[in-house]
Amino acid sequence: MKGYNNSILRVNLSDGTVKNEKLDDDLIRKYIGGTGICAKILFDELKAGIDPLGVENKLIWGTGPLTGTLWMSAGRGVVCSKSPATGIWAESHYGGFFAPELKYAGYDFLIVEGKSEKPVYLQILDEHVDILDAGDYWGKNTHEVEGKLKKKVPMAEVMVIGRAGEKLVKFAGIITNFASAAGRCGLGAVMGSKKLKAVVVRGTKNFEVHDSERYIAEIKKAEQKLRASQQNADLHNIGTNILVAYKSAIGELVTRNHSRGIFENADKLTGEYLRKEYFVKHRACFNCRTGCKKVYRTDGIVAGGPEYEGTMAFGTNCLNSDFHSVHEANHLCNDYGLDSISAGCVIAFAMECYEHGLLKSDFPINWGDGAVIIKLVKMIGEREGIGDLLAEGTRSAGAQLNAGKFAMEVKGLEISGQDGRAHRSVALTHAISVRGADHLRSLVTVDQLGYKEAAAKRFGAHTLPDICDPYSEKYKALAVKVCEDVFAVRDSLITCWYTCGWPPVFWLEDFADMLYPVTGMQYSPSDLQVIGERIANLRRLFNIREGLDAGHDYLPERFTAEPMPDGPAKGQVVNLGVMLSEYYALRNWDVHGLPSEECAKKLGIEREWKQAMAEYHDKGNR
Amino acid sequence: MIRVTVEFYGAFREFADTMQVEIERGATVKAVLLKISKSMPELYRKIESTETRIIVLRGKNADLDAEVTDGDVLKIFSSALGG
Repeated sequence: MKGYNNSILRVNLSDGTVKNEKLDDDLIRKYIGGTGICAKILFDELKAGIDPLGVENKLIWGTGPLTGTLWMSAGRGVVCSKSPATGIWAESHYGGFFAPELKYAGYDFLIVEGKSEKPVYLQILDEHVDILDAGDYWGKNTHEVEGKLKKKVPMAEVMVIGRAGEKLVKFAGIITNFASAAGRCGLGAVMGSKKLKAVVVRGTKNFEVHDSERYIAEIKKAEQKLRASQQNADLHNIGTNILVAYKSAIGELVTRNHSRGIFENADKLTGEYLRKEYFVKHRACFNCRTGCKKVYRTDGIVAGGPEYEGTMAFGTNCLNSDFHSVHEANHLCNDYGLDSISAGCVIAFAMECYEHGLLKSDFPINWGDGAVIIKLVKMIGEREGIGDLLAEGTRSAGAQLNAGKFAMEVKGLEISGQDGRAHRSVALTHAISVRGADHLRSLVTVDQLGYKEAAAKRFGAHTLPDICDPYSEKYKALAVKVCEDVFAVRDSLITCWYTCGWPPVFWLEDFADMLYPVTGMQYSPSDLQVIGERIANLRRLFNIREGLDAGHDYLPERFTAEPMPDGPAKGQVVNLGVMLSEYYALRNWDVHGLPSEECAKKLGIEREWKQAMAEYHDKGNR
Repeated sequence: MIRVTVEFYGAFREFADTMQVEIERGATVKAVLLKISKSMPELYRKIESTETRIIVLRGKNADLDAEVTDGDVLKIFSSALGG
């Protein structure tokens, strides 16, 4: 198939074998690439109930047909596995340059299985693949190791874990390009469990697309669309911290461990303010026309700075308006290899527990104390003192401290920087997302931003005006379902979230236009929607065979029973049940959140459905 | 007459951070923008031509025909995205 290398590199760290396998055309036609193909491989190859940090777990680095092509923002890749943070499906997407390099080395997917006895790193120089001793790098953090490996192998790209991954911190991430991360779900701990310190890749090959002239024409058309978008310009000029001021204005700025929606000192954390006070330069991923990432300077630290989620996690959610400490905490996360969202949220959780006398500490853990935030990030990365407790994540720490009501998590994953009380569709997104409390798999946005034309186009004119009412549950299930399917395609192609997350840039019709000249696969937008639905259901089945069902599609009571205390959304709570029922019905799932046989048949995943349901029932579930 | 504060964000911040507008009671968001056009025509043109602009009034997205009241703060964003 054009647009691919048609090749999977499989490395077994237990016995040191390296195999090059053919990527099957049927697999491509059904799942495209990225998260879709990873879901199919992991469903087939992982047994339910395995230990995510055990020898049986596997890690897959996935690319898509767009990866490494001239398409703007085709630099992203995905890493998938079973998560040690949640015990369920894990996928984490990253920017930078690694994914195109893997493709130029001749591989679409890299599967790492088994477990090494001693620390190793994987070096891929086109067809030369070696498992090398990492003794000199073990015990060191990511910035030092990435620098050394890049010096050793010029022009190479690196994905590396820090001490947090080595110490199996449950939310350890994998870092690349010094400040980009496959951060969520604890994939760095999976690498650590395999004693795999880093993957180094250098590729000098190329691959063909189906119709290069037509592809270039499509890219030019798309580029004009992107360049005409004010959102693209704003992302470049200010970055994702542009969200701080807007969320503050509508009362959805996640504050004080997700208890409030406004932060009185937010003006010191807005993207506009950070640009004026701390901006050094822009950063961009491979072939990107946006350049949304920013390098900031604070107190001698010049580094890739926090994006909105990092600013939320170490800033507003901890009542901390000191950007110096926010930046340093974020920088430390990149060095230790920690997911900044989970790290910040577990610290906010610790602050609330300390306030209520549920967490004992030999130093005060008070709200807004930037020095304590930095200290706790280091303690988590080193698993020192209470850092060891927090390194297990909020769900586990909440259970140990009898403080479950302060644990802002879903399925074991810390909740990202949104609040369903002020943005109803995201409440459903957090509850149903396949990797836990995630916003990126189905964040609707047009409802929140009041983009009526885009909402009508995507979800039907009949959904207006309710769809754009952020406090109404009406039609939000439809919007979440549509977005989840579309984004499954986006994450399989793979193209950057920021080129299609917000209107009026790219959607299914654009994906169809670009997929044909790359691959020769002629899909209509509705064909792609079915593929997205297939992927969404297969990932759900991965979790169902681990015993998950509707009982795991929950939100903390903070969102469903504690009215928003102040701000524009004052008094709002989420009625999750009504949205869940509607969502299950739209998906043709039963009231327990289990896909019907009819649904599985329609999507061509009947065999997987039978297997998942059998394993679900074998576990003693209904 | 009533007084409305207008705050600008994103690309609009290049023209101004904030403005005070005095306008007749019962005026709409659109009328406030037209008033701005008198003193800052380029900013007005930019706001008019930005499809992704979002206007927030009293914590909610507002249409151009929404009525402003004395002491309101009108926040105008060129876009909002991230995450």
